[in-house]
Amino acid sequence: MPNMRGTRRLRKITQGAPGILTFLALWETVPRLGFFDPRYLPPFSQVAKAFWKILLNGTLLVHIGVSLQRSLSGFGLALLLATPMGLLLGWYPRLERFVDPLLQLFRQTSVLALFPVFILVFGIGEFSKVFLIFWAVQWPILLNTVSGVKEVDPLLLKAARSMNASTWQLLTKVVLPAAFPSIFLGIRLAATYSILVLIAAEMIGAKSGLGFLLFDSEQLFQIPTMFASIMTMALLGLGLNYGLQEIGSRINSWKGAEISES
Amino acid sequence: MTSIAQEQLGTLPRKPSHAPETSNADLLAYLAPAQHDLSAFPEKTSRLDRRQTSVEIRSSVSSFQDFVMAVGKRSRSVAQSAPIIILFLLAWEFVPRIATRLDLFDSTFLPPFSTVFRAFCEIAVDGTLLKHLSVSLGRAGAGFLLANVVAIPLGLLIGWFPAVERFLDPVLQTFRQTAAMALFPVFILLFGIGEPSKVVLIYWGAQWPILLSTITGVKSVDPLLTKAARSMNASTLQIFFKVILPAAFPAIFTGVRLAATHSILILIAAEMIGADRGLGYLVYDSQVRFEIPLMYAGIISLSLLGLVVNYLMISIDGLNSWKKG
Repeated sequence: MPNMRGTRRLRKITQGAPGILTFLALWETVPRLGFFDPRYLPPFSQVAKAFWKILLNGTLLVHIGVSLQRSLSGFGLALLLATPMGLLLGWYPRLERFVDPLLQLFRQTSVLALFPVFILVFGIGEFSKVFLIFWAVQWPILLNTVSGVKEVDPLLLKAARSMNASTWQLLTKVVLPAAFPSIFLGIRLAATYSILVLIAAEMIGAKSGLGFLLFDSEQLFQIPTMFASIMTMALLGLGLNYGLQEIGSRINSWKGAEISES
Repeated sequence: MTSIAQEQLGTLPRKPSHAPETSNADLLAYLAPAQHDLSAFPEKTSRLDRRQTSVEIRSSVSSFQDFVMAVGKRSRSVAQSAPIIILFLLAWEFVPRIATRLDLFDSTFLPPFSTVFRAFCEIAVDGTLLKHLSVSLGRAGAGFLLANVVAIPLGLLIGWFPAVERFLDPVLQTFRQTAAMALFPVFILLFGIGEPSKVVLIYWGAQWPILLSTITGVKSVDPLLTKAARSMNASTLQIFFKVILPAAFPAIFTGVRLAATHSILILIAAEMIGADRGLGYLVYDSQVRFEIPLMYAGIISLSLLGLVVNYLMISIDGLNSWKKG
């Protein structure tokens, strides 16, 4: 079983390699041909050199640390608040119907539009950024939790209830596991979203973090560093996405095993 | 209740097994927001179900009935949404007043709704709002249209040739994971600080959902349909336009809807970082100049814009009903 997974991963990497290599080769040669000013679009080797430099002198790690801390705090807060809230709303459909218009209104209000409000309310420190990410991330988690709970097979609920399960047992033993795939989908969506919002927030008002590094190196006209920070963000996004995918498949495979055993 | 995202999931196993599975899961994650919107409009999902399960020929009479029913549902949903919205506005009106009286927080940071509403009316009357709105709409519209024009044909092509798709997929995934905002400085360098850099940024951000859902849409067209058409001696061009395109349309449209929401988010960020006009600039500028009611008025107009765009997209999606006949 793990062996199969290993070979599949290997095949995926070998399949992906040609595309990526071609892209890097183009990035290396096209700027040298002189369509663009090479100062604005430096070839890949220069960017890689800049990346290596900021990696070695520790700048990159500091900024990554700051960014990760912000986004993980916002994320944790959202998980703590939005999941129970979503369970509640999904469990009581009338409450959900009552609140839904407001939720839709808030969801349609772009997070970044609220950034100035959060700065006013929470100051220009860390907390306004953490709160911004919390705000952005909670909507996909909340809405997916609600729809996950609403779509739990009624047969499962009736079966559990006929076996005299309490409401609490019903929620923790039936509803939560059954809604989990949908909740996890919300978390994955939220992860992609949080990076976009984080970067924008750090570009608008911050003194550290990857978004700041990007904006600052553009202002200082250190173009290779700028591209290096973009590359870091792309890698971070890919890594996050891949990691969540792995976690999701592992949890799901565990669930599948348990179901097939019993 | 089946949602589009789950429907995609349902059709996935039918696909050729050699296709990389990452992109499916990713796309699923991408398509998922549509889920909430659809659940708000149950008539749409049931329509999808019907289309999938049977190929019944329906008369124009019944589609008219559907239309009437849909209108009835919509007005009912408006009536349903009124109480909570009114409650929210009342809270916004009175909580700041009471809190100021009790010295809990300063109402300059959160002025009561009436103050904000007055500011909103002021800028609506003196034309400021219209000026900023038209600039924002112009940018978002241009970028969004460009994304549609480029990404849909490209997605159709890539989805049509699986080898090309397998080759390009890792690069596409990498680009998609690179937040559009990160590339804003690059676009400023390449296209200057004027309008083109913002339009290109919105185009860039909007094109990924469209491209990826178009690819999945084309890939998950039922092979039975293409085989049937081919056995009836249809040319490749005919298969493409008469079978693939209509069958992939729902998936494409989901991508388009996502892109519309996405382009507003990016528009606001771009206007906050570097612009001298537009709604995002209005919000940011009034915060810097500490004109708080004006800032909230800007935020209200942005969320109204978001609601209108979402509603428009849902109505356009409703035009899909011709397909079921």
